[in-house]
Amino acid sequence: MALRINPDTSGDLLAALARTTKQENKALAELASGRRVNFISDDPAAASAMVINRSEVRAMDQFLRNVTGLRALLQIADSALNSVVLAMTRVIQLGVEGANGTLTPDNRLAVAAEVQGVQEQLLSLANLTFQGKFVFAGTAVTTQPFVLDGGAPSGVRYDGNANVTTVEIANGETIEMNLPGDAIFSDPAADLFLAVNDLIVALQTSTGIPAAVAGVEAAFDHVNLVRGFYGSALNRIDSTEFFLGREILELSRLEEGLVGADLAETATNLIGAQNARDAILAAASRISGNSLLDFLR
Amino acid sequence: MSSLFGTLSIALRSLLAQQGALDVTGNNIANVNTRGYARQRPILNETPPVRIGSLVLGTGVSLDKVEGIRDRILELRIHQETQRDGELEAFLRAMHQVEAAFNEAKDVGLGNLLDNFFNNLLQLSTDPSSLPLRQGVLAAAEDLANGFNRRAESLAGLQSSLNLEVTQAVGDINKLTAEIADLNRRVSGLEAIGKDALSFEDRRTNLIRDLSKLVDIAVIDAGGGSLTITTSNGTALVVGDTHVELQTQIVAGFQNIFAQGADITATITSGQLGGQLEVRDQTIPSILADLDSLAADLANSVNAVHAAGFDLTGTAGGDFFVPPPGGGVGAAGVLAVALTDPALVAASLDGQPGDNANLLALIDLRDQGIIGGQRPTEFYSGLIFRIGDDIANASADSEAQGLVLRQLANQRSSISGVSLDEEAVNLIRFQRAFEASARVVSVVDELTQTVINMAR
Repeated sequence: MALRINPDTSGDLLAALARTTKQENKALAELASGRRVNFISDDPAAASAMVINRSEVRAMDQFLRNVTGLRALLQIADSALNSVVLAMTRVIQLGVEGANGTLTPDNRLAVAAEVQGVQEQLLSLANLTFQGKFVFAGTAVTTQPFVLDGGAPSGVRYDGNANVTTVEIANGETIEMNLPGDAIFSDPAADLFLAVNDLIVALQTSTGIPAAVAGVEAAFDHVNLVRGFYGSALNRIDSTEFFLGREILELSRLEEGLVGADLAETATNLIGAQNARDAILAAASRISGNSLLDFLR
Repeated sequence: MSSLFGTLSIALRSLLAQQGALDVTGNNIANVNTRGYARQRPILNETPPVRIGSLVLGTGVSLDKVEGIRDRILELRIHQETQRDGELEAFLRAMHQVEAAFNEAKDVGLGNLLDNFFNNLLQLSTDPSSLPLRQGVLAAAEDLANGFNRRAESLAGLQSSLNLEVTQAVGDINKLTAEIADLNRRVSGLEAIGKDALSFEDRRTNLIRDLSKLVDIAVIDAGGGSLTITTSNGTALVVGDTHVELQTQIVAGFQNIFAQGADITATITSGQLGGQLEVRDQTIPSILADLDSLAADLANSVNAVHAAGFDLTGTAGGDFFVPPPGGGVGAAGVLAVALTDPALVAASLDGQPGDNANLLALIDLRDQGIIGGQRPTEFYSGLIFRIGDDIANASADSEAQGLVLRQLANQRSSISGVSLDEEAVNLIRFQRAFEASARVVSVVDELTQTVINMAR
């Protein structure tokens, strides 16, 4: 006798229905979340790659935030140094005026007093603060860097340090975020406060004014030179910001590719699963339930 | 030439036999939906003939036995495949809960907390003396420590609930083995007196199937209708009509399984019990060990760098994290931040409040191989992969196993399943045969009447 046929098809029917229902559910989950990978077991390789990808994106977001914060600091410092340059220009003007042989000692005293006024302005610029911290103090940001000191030849004492703070603004890329005050204002070769003080003394005593003016000019040149630091730092920040923005976009695109759902494909799968289910149900209703007993009286 | 009464008894025998066959058919139809039922076939044999002079005459038919149609080898195979199915089912059930604790697919995983910690340090580096930003670092560190604690707790909790499941499974196993032993007794008792123990055998086969779902077993025919059941590694469960009760006892915090005083936990490899034990005793401890490594190595590295720096008051840095236990065992469950005062974060290397060099060193740990040679994110990504991969493989196996079982079930059904068409035909056959034999009885009755009237 030939092979007997399995008379009970209900098991297969249920298994087929379960299968199509599972496919339907999976497609629905993908559509609802927009993701192909909703659990790490959906695609372990993609999920683990995503962990690393995400980590990089978050780091880049932080870099971007840092960069924006830094820009504010650098711009304020740069603008302060701009004011310093303008003030120094005025001092030089006054010095040249004072060197004029037609002035009387009293006139010169008046000029000296004006220079003193600018000197005070320079001092407060050198002690610039940003968010409560001194900008030109090196890393000693809670200590006022330039302090009036009668015993010092320049009339001020530098209480800050020469240390520089660096910040990471992109992967492996750092930027120095400050210029220590002594490099700007008390550089041994072109000490700004010393030069200004010397000019005041020269005006008050009416001696050596041209030499004093030359000293101020040297200090002026020095400040102009070193403030380039802030200008170039700001440029770097701009280009880094642009680069970071692009990188973040790239990484997001990569993540989409890893775990994002192709909505068209998923919707098609859903319809396919639903159709399959309907077909199975229709077929089942036709073929099950009939036996010879229905035909015998 | 036999007597009329001889003919009558032939007809009578036939009536009884056909009625018996109808009973069998009726029984098959009644049990068409009974799980594990093997269709029965009436075996009708000629009764021994009788010699009368030179004639040899038949004496009718008798229903000698009722045979259950089953393929024992196929059923053994089904039991084996059921074990693996049960194992995968239990494994997946438990592992899906583990997966929920590590759901990196949403944005709330441990990876996120780790990144947040480093990014807060990065933020602080732009303004090292800022108290709010320092507070941010401590908060992120605490979130990270809590993240580790919670996950370690979840995993330990899962192990506890698996303990309960193991105890339950052992209880179920004991109930099944007791019943099987009893059925052994009945079946072998009936076979000893030459009877067929059909429904008892069906029931026993069902129980063995249930038992193989729970634990991996080997079934040996001990002869005389009795089946000996042992675990696949040889521990006796049912021998003849006695069964061995398994006990559970706590060993090192976990419920272990004992048979007659010996710990057999490690010998159980399949069935639901096997799956539960694998997750409880191997998979989860391995994940916990990885978490512990991550927590301990991270904490130790951070502490080492922190100690090299200076805080806002100019003092050398103390412990950032509470030092993890030696060897890292249990580190994830107890990880905690040791600092509460934001001013004590040792950001500086030159002692000044505006210096962030130590922060840069801390941030740099993110890119160093501090976890056994791997970067923290890399290590964590590997852990995620391993967990997801185990589950994905088990899922695929489970689906394949389902198909195998389906196919075996279909095969069994084609051999032992009741076909209503077939039984309908049988009904007709036996009914007609009964009617025909009844006709013979009426004919003999008439003939006897005729003979009696002859002598009047």
